[in-house]
Amino acid sequence: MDIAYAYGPCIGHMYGGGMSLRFGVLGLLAEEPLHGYEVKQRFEEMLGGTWEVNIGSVYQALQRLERDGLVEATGDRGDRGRQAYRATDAGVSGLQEWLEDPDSQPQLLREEFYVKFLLLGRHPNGQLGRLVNRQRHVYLQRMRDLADQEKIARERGRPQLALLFKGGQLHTEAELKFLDAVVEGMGRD
Amino acid sequence: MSWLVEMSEVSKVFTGGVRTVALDRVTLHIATGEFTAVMGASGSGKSTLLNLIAGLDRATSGRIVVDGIDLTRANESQLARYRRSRVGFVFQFFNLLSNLTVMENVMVPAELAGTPSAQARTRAGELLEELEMTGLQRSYPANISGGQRQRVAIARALINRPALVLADEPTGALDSRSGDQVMGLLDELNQRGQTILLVTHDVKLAAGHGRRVVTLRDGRVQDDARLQPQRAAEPGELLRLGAEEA
Repeated sequence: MDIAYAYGPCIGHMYGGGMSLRFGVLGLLAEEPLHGYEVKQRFEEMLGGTWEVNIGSVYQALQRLERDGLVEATGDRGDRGRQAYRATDAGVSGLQEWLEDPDSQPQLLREEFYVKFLLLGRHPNGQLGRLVNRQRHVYLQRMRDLADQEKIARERGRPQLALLFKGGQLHTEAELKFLDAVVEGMGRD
Repeated sequence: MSWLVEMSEVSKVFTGGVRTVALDRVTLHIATGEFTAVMGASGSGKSTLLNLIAGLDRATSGRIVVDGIDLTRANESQLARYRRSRVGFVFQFFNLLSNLTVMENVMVPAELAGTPSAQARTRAGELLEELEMTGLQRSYPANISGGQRQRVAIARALINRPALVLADEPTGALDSRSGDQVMGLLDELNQRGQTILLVTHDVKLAAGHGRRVVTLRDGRVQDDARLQPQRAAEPGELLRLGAEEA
């Protein structure tokens, strides 16, 4: 399972799916030519370990970018037969366009907990209350982890990454408030 | 494990005007050295809980023992002595005395507890040095920043070497940077063994610093979660653990 997905809404949600990887790869190749494995490493490094990408997904993204004329192979294959890629002019302008557009994806209310909440709500038997309590512990520990991560990122001189972790905490705070609303709702039933 | 705070079946009912049950049979034990955060919305009972543990108010029923002292049986002078010597207070709005210098503010609780002035001054000086406030000893509260005022308040809270530090929304009146510094200071104190009880409505603060997060709702303990701090040393490393259940 993709780590960002496993981690839930606070990080995974923020990057969504394929577009982030596609343009993330393109953005790195617009900086300098890289081969697939370097792209994977840089991408993960940029995201501070929050998103572990499969090398297969990186090659797939590269193939599609090449097919669409946004990147091209450059130089000879190295000793290990690794091919470097760089962004084309079309790639650079496509990247600029993407960077300028706000993220207007619809909010996907697809967390597992939401589905459990809806299913359990159909047959009230007390199970939802127990689940909410256990879910709260998970969110609280997540909050703690993200706060620790923010601190580490700041100490390592990565203020932008620290802000990303702050964003994760704010998302987690919202999830905790949602649990409060669920409890409130159960009280009214 | 030795309990520093033992609350058993504690209720607090306010009867003036409308009868209000602020705390409803709350049982809560806090161990020596713990950093506990009590969280709840306004009206959840968290301020009442703090006031009872602080010896500022009395329970309607139940038993509260802090550091071996039964607060539910203590008389007024015993309670006053308890407040002076066993607990240190850090408030949202600092509560410093404006006509006293930083040094004098820190010394107040020690002098009230009967510590000779010279000894109180030495201890206050040490604390202010630890909190990097040495240069401001002679300043008045009005002339220092909010973050500095809260550090003075922390020094004041510590001067009698209290068994328990009670912090009531300690960052509520601070900008986020000063707030982070104050919380970092409380973390350090706890790492050196100081028992801390933080009361806040802010879950980021509670979960970010407490080893234990107690959530109050309608006067009852709704939840009591123990958290594992610092599960990893590298950015990103924790996220592999983040999906695990606490």
